[in-house]
Order: sequence, then C-alpha cells, then structure tokens
Amino acid sequence: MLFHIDDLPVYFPYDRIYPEQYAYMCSLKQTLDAQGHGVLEMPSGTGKTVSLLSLIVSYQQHYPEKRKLIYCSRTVPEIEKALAELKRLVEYRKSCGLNETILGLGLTSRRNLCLHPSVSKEKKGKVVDARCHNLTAPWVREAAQAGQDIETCSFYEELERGDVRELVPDAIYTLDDIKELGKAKKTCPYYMARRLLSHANVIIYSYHYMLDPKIADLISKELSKDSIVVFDEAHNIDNVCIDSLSLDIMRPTLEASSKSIAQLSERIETMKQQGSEKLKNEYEKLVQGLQDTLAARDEESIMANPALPDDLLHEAVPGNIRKAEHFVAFLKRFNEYLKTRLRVLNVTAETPSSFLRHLKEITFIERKPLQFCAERLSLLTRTLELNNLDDLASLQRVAALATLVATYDKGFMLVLEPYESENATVPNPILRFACLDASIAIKPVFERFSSVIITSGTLSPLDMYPKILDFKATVQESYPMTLTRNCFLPMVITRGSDQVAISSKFEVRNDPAVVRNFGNILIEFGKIVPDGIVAFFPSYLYMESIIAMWHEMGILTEAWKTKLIFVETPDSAETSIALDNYRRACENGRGAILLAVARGKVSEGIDFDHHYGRAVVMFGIPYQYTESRILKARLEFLRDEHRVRENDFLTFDALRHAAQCLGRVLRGKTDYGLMVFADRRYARQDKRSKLPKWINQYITDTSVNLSTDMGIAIAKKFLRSMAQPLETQAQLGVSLWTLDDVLARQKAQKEKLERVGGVHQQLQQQYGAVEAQRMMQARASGDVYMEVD
Amino acid sequence: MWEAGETVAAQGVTVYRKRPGFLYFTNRRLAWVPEGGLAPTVSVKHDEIKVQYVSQEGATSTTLRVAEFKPDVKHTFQFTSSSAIQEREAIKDLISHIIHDRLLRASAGGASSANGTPGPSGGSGASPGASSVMSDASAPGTPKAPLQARMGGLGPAGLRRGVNGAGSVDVEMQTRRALLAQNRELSLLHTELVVGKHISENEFWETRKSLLRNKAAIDQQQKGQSSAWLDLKPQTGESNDVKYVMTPQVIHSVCQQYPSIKRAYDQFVPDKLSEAEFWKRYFQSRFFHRSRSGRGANEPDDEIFDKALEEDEEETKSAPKRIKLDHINRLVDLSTTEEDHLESYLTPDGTMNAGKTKESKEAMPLIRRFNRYAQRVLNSTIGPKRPFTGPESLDMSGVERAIVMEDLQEQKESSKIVLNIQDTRRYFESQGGDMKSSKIPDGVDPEDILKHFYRDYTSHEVVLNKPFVIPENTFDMLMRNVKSNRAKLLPPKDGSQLLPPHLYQEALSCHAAGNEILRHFWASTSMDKAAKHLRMIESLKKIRDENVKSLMIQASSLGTDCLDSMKMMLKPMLNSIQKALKHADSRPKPPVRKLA
Repeated sequence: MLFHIDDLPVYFPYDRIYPEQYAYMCSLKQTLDAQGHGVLEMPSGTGKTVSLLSLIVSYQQHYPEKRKLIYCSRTVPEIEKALAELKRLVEYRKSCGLNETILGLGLTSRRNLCLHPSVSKEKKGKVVDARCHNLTAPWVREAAQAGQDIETCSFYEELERGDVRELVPDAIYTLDDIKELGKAKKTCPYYMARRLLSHANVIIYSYHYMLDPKIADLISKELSKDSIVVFDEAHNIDNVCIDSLSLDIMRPTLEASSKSIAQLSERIETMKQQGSEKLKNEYEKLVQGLQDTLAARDEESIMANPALPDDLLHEAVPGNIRKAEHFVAFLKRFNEYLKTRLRVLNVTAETPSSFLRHLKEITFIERKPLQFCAERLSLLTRTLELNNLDDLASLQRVAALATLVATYDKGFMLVLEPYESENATVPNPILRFACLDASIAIKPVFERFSSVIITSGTLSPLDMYPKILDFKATVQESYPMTLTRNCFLPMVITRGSDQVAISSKFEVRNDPAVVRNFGNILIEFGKIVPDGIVAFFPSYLYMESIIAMWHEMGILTEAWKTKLIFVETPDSAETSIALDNYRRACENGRGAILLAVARGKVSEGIDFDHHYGRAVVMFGIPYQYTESRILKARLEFLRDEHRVRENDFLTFDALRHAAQCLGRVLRGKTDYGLMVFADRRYARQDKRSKLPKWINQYITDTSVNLSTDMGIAIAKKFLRSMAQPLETQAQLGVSLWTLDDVLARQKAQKEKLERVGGVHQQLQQQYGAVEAQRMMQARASGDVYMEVD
Repeated sequence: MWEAGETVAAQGVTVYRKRPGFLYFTNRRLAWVPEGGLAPTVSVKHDEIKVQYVSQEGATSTTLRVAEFKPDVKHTFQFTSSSAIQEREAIKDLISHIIHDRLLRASAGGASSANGTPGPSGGSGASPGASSVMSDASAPGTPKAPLQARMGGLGPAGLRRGVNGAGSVDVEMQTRRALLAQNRELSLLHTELVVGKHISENEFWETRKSLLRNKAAIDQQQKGQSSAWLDLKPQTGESNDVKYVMTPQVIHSVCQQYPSIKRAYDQFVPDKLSEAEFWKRYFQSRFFHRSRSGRGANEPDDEIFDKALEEDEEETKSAPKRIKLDHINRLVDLSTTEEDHLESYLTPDGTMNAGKTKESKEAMPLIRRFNRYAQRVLNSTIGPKRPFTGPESLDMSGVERAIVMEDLQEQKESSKIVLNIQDTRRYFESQGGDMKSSKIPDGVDPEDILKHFYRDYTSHEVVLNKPFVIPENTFDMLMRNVKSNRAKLLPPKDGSQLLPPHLYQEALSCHAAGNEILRHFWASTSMDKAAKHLRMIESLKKIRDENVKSLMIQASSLGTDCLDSMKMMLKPMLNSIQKALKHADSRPKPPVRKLA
C-alpha cells in the first residue's frame, strides 16, 4: 500500500498494516526529520524490520540527500532475513512503477562468503582470514607479479582487474546473491562487498562492524556523515560495546606473544642483513599515516576510533619506539611485566592509572609509548610483510591492552583473578581488562552520524539506554500491542502444585523440591502443548546441574514420553544440528522440547514462531553472575556515573533477557503462544514493571500468582481457544488496518490538530516556537496513536 | 462345455492329480478340464466350497486347495504357467469373495431366506459363522507343508490376512464384534434391530461400511517405535531375584540409545554369541550399570562391553570435530554468527562457561546423548535429512517463509460455489413469508387503506411542548410480548427430565431403531429390492403398533406429563413412519405379488 506521512510517500509492501507499524513509522520519520537519535521499542513479531526498511527507504528515495541507511543487526540469520525483506520491499517498489536505482547489500565475514576452493572449506573464521591474508597481502601479490612462484587467489585478482561499480549492477544483494554474483563473475564476494559499501544506499551487517574498533576502522570509518544508522535487536548493545573494548590476558596468551616477539626480532635481523630500505622508511610512514588520519578526522571524512584517540594524533611518536628493534624490545619488556603480574596469587583490582604507576616503577615504561603500541605494531607487521597473522593474535591483544590502558583512566578496570572458579585449586590466572563504560565504544557512532536509531522488542525501561550509552534521544517511544484476540498468554507460575515456592535464587535453586517443581512444569506442559516447547535456564551451569538432577529423579524420562528432547550445548555446530532437528520434530509428530540458556546463542536471533514454539518457559530469572568482580565494578561505575542503582540495573538486565527469550514465540498476530515465567519473584511489581509494555499489558491479575496445576488449567483453555480459526474481518480496523483505516486515522488526526490549533498558539506564548512545535509533534504521533486501543 | 448363462471369470493352467489341464472359475462353479478334454472332470459349485488353502508366497509350487462341504473331499491344483501366481491370486480372490458372502448371509441367520444353502451354522446371532469357520480351519487333515494353511488362530498377524481367503470374513466378523463391544449405542441398536429380526445382520452393516473400514484401518495401523527414553527397570521376583525382560521394543531402544551397543550386537550376534548370552552379559557389564546409575561398580571385566563403554564415552565426551552444516536450515545455523565476528578477547564468566565444573562434566555426555538419541528417533521415523539438491531455491524459500507476514496480505477470496437458482422469482416469494396472512380482508378497498394512511401521515403533528404519554394498553401489549418471548427462550421440559431413566433409554432406542428401519425402507425403494422393502414395511408397522404403543402405555401410567413428553419425543418418527407407509401404499405393487 502507499500512504503519506506528512508529505512523505511511504511504500509498504503489504495490503494491510498493523497500527503499531504505522505509529512506529511516524516516530521514525520524526527522528529522521529532527536529525536526532531515537530509542524505539516495538512488540516482537509485529514486523519491525519491514516497517523500518520501508520508511527509511521511502525517506531516502524521496529526499535529494539520499541519506545512506546502515542497518546493523545481531546475528547472520537476522541479517539474512533483513536483506530478504529489503529485496522484497524493493521489488514491491518496482512493481508500483517507481523507477529508481537502489544498491543494497550485506556484509559478513570471509568465512561465510569465501569462494576459494580450499580456503572456503575451513570452518573457523580466524583460519579463513589468515589464509586469505596470505593470498591477498600486497607484498604477496607484488611478488607473484614479479614472477615468483607464490600462490594467489584468482578471485581476488579478478576483482583487482576490474572496477567494482561496473561489475555490479544496482540491485539488492542478499548474502547468497553476492556469493552467486562472485561465482558468476569469478570475483571475490567478500572484497567486492567491502568495496561496494561506500557506494551502497543500504548496508546491512552485524553491529560489530560498527562498534568493534578493530573492525570498524577497516570497514565503517569512511561511511558518510549523514547516514542513518539503525541498531536493530539492540537490547544488548551496551554489552556489545563493553565486550568490544574489553580483553582478557591469560598465560597462554603471553607465551604466544613471547614467541611472536622472538619471530619479529628474527625477521628484523634478516631484513637488516638484506639491507632493506623498508625499515628505514618505516618511521616516516608511521608519522605520515597518523597525519593522514588526523587530517581526515579534521575534515570529518572518517569516523573516530576509540582505540586511537585524537590527542594521540597530535603528538609525536616517542623516540624509544621509533626504530623497529627498539619497539620489539619495548614490547618484550611489557610482555615480561605482564607475566610477572600473572604470577601473583591473590585477587587484585586496580584502575588503569595505578597499573601504569606500578608499571613505571618496575620497568620505567612511560605512558606515551604505550599509547602508540597497537598502531605501531600493525605498521611493523606490514613493513615486515608478515604472513600468518593468525599467529600474531596474542601479541596484537597485548598491544591493544597497552594502548587502551594508557589511553583511558576512567571507565576501565583491571582485575587479576588467579583461580578460575572459587573452588579451583590449580591456578589459571586471568588478567581482565574490563571496560565498564558502554558509551566509549559507541561514542564515535553517535558523534559521527546524525541519526542513530536504537530499536528492539525489549528496551524497557527506555530511559536506561540514553543513560548508559550517554546520548540524547530526540524520540523515545514504546508501543503497546493491539490485539483482537489475546494471542499470547503471559503467566507467572510462583509455586508448584505442592505449594512450594519456586525460584532460581541462589539459596534454593538446587533444593530438590524446587528442582522437582521446575521439572513438573516441564512434564505438564509437555503433555498439553502441541508441537514445540522451548525452556530457558538462567545459565549453562544451572542448566547442566538441573538436567543431571532431573535425570536422576526420572523427570526427563517422564518428559521423553511425550516429546523428544534437545539441548543447547556450548558448541555452536552441535547446537545448530540440535536446533535443526528440533524444527524437524516440530514439523512431524508430537513435537519436541528444546532446553536452552537465556544468554546463550539460541536465545539470540532464533525465532520460535508458530509451531516451532507454542510455549516458552523461563525457569528462574536470568540474573548475571553477581559474584563476578567485573560486574561489581560495572555496577559501581553505573551508580557513581549515571546514578543507576545496582539492583535496578541487575533486574533490568535480567528481565530484558527474559523478555527477549519469551518474545521469540510470536510472529504476527495470527500466531499464538504461551509465555511462562516460572519464578516466585516475577510476581513482584518491581520485576514486572521492567518488562516491556506490550508484555506487561497482557499480564492479568489472575495469571500473576499461579501454582503449576492452575497454570496448566489456564494454558489448556488458552490453547483450545487459540486453535479455533481466526477471522481476519474481526481484526480489521482494530489490530489490522487497511489503507482506508490509515487514511481515516490521518484525517481524524488532522482535524484534531486543527482543533488544538488554538492550544498551539497558547503553547507558543508559553514556551516559545521551537518547543511548541516539538510538543505538538509529540501529540500528533504518540498521543493520537494511544487512543487506538 | 458350459451351462447356459455360465461365464468364465478367471482361469489358470494347472496340474490336477498329475494331469495337466485348465482350472476355470465361472459365475456358478469351480471347474477343472483336463488338457484336450471337453467336459470338466472336477466341478465344485460355489455353495459347495467350504474353505480354500493356498501355498505360501515364495513356496516352490503355487497351489490352491479347495475343500468341499462333503466330508474329506479336497482338490489340489498346482498352477504351472509362468504367471502362476497371478492366476492363482485371481481365482483365490474370487473364491474368498463367495465364501465371504456366504458367511455374511449365514450369520444373518434364518431371517435371510434368499437361498437355501446349508449354512455351516444354523443359529442366528451376532457372528456365529466366524467361529465355525475357524474350527474348520484347524480341523484334522489340515495340509502340512508345502501347503500351509494361511488361516489360523487369532494373532497379531491375523489382521493382515484380510485379503487372503476366508480370512477376510473372519476379520470382518472380528471387526464387527469389536465395534459392537466398543460402542454401546450401536450394540443396543444392533440388538433391537437384528436380534429383533427387523433387518438382517448384513443389512445392518451395509449402512455402516465406513465404520467398519475405519475400525479396520485403525486396527491395521502399526504402532511405531516408542520414542521415550528407555528406563530399564528390573522386575523383582519372589525370591528377590532380579529379572529384565527384553522385548524387541526394548532392544530397539537400547540400540538407539547406545550406538556402540548396536555395533557390538551386529558384530557378535548371532555368530559368536547367542542373543540371550549377549544380553545376559550386557546386564552384568559395567556399561549397563554405568549408564543406569552413572556409577561404575565393581563389575567384572567384559571385553565386548568395556570396549563399547569406552567408545560411548569417547563419543559423548566432546563435541564432534567435524560437523557438516551444509544441509541444515541457514536460519538456525549458529556457526555463521559465531564465525562472523572474530574473537572477542573475552572469556565468558563462570556460569556461562559450560563443561568446566565437575557436575557439568557429568551432564554434558548426557546432553549429547539426548541430542543424538532424539536425532536417531527422528531419522528412524521420518528418514534422515537429505542435503538440498537446489540449495538456493530451497534455502531462499525458508527465509521467505520466515519474513512474510501472512495476515498483512489481502487474503484471496476462497473459491465459493455460486448458488444457482433457476426460478429466482419463486425462490424469493417462498422466502417472503406467508403471503396469505397479509392479504387484505374482503370488502375493504385497498384504495381506502392507502388514503387512510396518507391522511394519517399528512395530518400528523408533532407536539413537542406537551409531555408524551404512552397509553396504558401499549405497556400491556409490550409486557405480553416480552413474556411470551421469554417463555419461548426457556428450555422446554423434555423427556430426559420427566421420564424415568429406563423408559427414556427405551424411548431413545426405539427412536433409533425406527429411524434405522426408515433408512432401510427408503434405501430399498428400487424394484430389485422389493422383498426387503416388504419386510421393512412390516417392521415399520411393528414398530408403530408394538414398540411405540408399549412405550405410550408405560408413559401414560406415569401421568399425563410423561405421556405428553413421550408423544413429543416420538412424534417426528411416527410422522415419518406414517409418511413412509403412505408412500408404500401408493406405490405400485411389487411384481412378486402380481406373479402370485
């Protein structure tokens, strides 16, 4: 359908639209118009992606600026789905008679795209990257061109021969399409995609490509300033930010980096003996490179890199690391220092500045040369024309630590843990360099791009994200779900049929009565729910111990009688097979039970819609491991910096994961499913209030404090009524709008605006023109929409 | 060679008493003509065939043995042509058909006087025929190998014999009996009608073929292997001895759960170890105790099972190194994501780091075993997953299915059959209600009425400043209407509340019987079923004059209320019977009468 929001024609590739989608698009447009950032929470499974894409593509194509859309998602299957949606949308626009050229494509790692006959057989991404590098590094190619017998990659060579723009016609390329195109043209799909990024109108990739400084610097830094950046499924974005700037150092890491250092110095020796000019020119290159970066940053043509702060660019490279051999010696000293630190057998936690002070006392290493470490190392590896970068990973990690620890004194923390777990006796020390401030990694993104949209099905409470990511949101919205029939039933089971309260609280979680009651929930739901059931546990550890206990109690034998059982394992390939089999079991016969972990791989990005999940059970509340020192440090940081209370943050974090797990059960309003919260603590208001509005709105008083048998009775009734055929006619106008409904809504809204025109003037007198405009807009989009239900 | 009107339905090249010849199955008899002969030397009328036996499929010779009702007269034909089996099957089917028919007729008992064949049983009842056939089958003189009677006692395999020989009759009888035993109402009706000799057994089932077919299908459906996780529990005997019972199902489950046991089984049984010996050693082995309780006790060493245990532990200890992910749906392929973002430099915190603690080292093999067992169960029932042949198209459709939201698309109107009314005018008139009631009474000029209305309409004045009074009688009228509507809404008292339960039941079964006979009555209106038609008329009359009457008398003894409700209950049926009888009277008399 085609409708207008204000003056913007929006092509929506369906005949009907959910009211949520319409409201969502209105808010989106408002955000884009204001060139500001937005936080939008939209119910899971109501077609967020398609609304987002259709509005932004319409917006992009309507205005002459043609702002680029950078859509970041979480997992590769989600990227794949978004690309398919985009393709469908563009086909729809074509079918509406629009004559436009849109280039859209997705990017993923070499491992998923490679066509090279032997390299593509590798299973590990790291190995693929290293082997690709060995075939495509400039010096390798130079040597090959000079006639040496060195293997290169024919696909890459083919790409180098032609112009990418000429090679690739404007269209939408899914990951598969780009691979097919590569096959057809015999060119490397990965580099083709990377080179096309700067030309593309729509880019879809994982948000690591935007947030992780190591990758972002390679791929995303040149994307234009007025791009629209969307983080979809962004409920976990703060953790991604933190992860991308945190690192762990262990003994094997240091051993490996010692080895690499030795290799480097050997290599330098041989180069010297060959009398190569390269080493001599190296320093000039470094200085030149830094200056180029500085110039580019000043012109705002590239994005900042949190691991290479601006002030560094203004400074001269310290003398003691200018020469290659000096730098290697410097690295060696630092590495040895870290080794001695790991020998300490008690837990220590310190700030970067105290670490630096201690470092200086022992080794006389100054802060400044440390800051340059990462940049200097990458230059050195290029100069030395090193292959097998894979081997250098550990050393790179050490260098990254050096740079980060010397750059930031706030928002980071060093924790040394000599033992892996509390009851371990053999020391296996880990030096954790933990980022506590999620805003550091995402800061360049907010600074560079004018519109950044953060969206997901579970972002409640909305004001948390602007706080912890440190940005100002122009639009902040959460939409309720309009339903003609209550197609999902959230229920809180607080006790078993024997009235023993159930909880995953640490003190009681292994109590046999609690474990048995959890098990009974599984058995009973297994008996009444058709097709698939997914059950989530708060952690791997807990899942493992509960499965062992259930097996001993005979609970699983009971559950096996009604359904097949599949379990998530730490190995992703193994889990993928289990998932695939789970879906086959749901398609044939009585269905299956999938046991998974709330923060695990299955909980992210796998949909359990329709028969793949008629019930999702959340056993306990997925709190983080609160004894973790890093978490404690982060909580402290949040309290001091953002005034977020520890408990608030922990509950927020736990419930967003719980809601995320449970939300995957729905896709569209014809789907239906049960959401079972199995923990006593969910009955409390403080927990429930942190659930997304759209779930909370359907938790009724009757379903908030149930025992297992009561829950089963309600679920039975629900499933029976849901299995009845659904009349679309009943939904029309309420939870499903046709074009007429949209137009009627817009008309009513306009009339209302005219009616409150007087109010506008009043407001203008009171608050001034700009403010009044903003308030009116808020009324126009949010308030009017709220009257729908 | 053939009698007038005789036609050959099937034939075969056979050897009979070491003489070659041809076996014919005609519409009257089974006949054998020697090669070169003109007249059949063996001739068995359909009604004389008692039972047939056939050699097993795959036996060295293809034979058919037919026994007559005359004691000890049996004929054995050996089919010799290249298509021996087909010929034999054709004749066999035909014979089984007539035996089947006869048995059905016979079971209907004396009520069926259609032919005077000496039935194997003279009695009338639900299914006496079946049992007598069975005793015949096991009578002395049953041929031994290579002629193996394919009839026998009832066993699980019996149902599959449905196509073979007299077995089908046997099976059908079984089915009928089972149906009657399961369905009380049906059995009541059966007693009422068949035992009450209103209709014959055959006629009764004629209208219930679907029930029989359904039941047979249910019975024939094989139960699949249980998917449940095997929990081998010993049976404890009196003297505290422990006994494990191994059924094929249990063996299957053990093999599914522990592939290493299956490998050992395939390797050693039955060449090196007997099956019993194998399982005996299994129960004594460390493997068994470890897998059951998780604790290896001090069992003696056992080469086979210790090796199997080792293999099993090796398999479940860690994730398999090389897993092919090509054939799985890309939307659930987690490895693409994991390998998309290279090494985060982080190790997950303790609770998320699986496989590290002591408990998890115990749990992980169990989890792997679960996943693999479930996969094997799936594969054994729906077959292993084959890699896609055309990866692009199939995979894409998977993604497509995951993204397209169906309820947002305009549903295409499902094709409907347009009601085509030939004479629309008549149709709408009939829908318009009773025209007579709105007729203008005689002596009133329509003109006048119109004028009156017109005057009323034009002269009507709305007086808004006066209070509007509703006349008293309007209220009364309204009240009456409301009351009568209310009375209509109340559920009327019916027989189930008024009548005593036994009488109510009787009325119900009488009603059911009447309807059944009515059905048979209307089904037999065609000329060729005249005899049945007459019988049905009799039955209807009987129902009307005897059963209904007796019910009425019983009801009237309980009071007028009961009588009324009884009348109300039976009225529709009585009306139908009346109509049916009227129809029968108006119908031209069946030709039988004319002949008489």
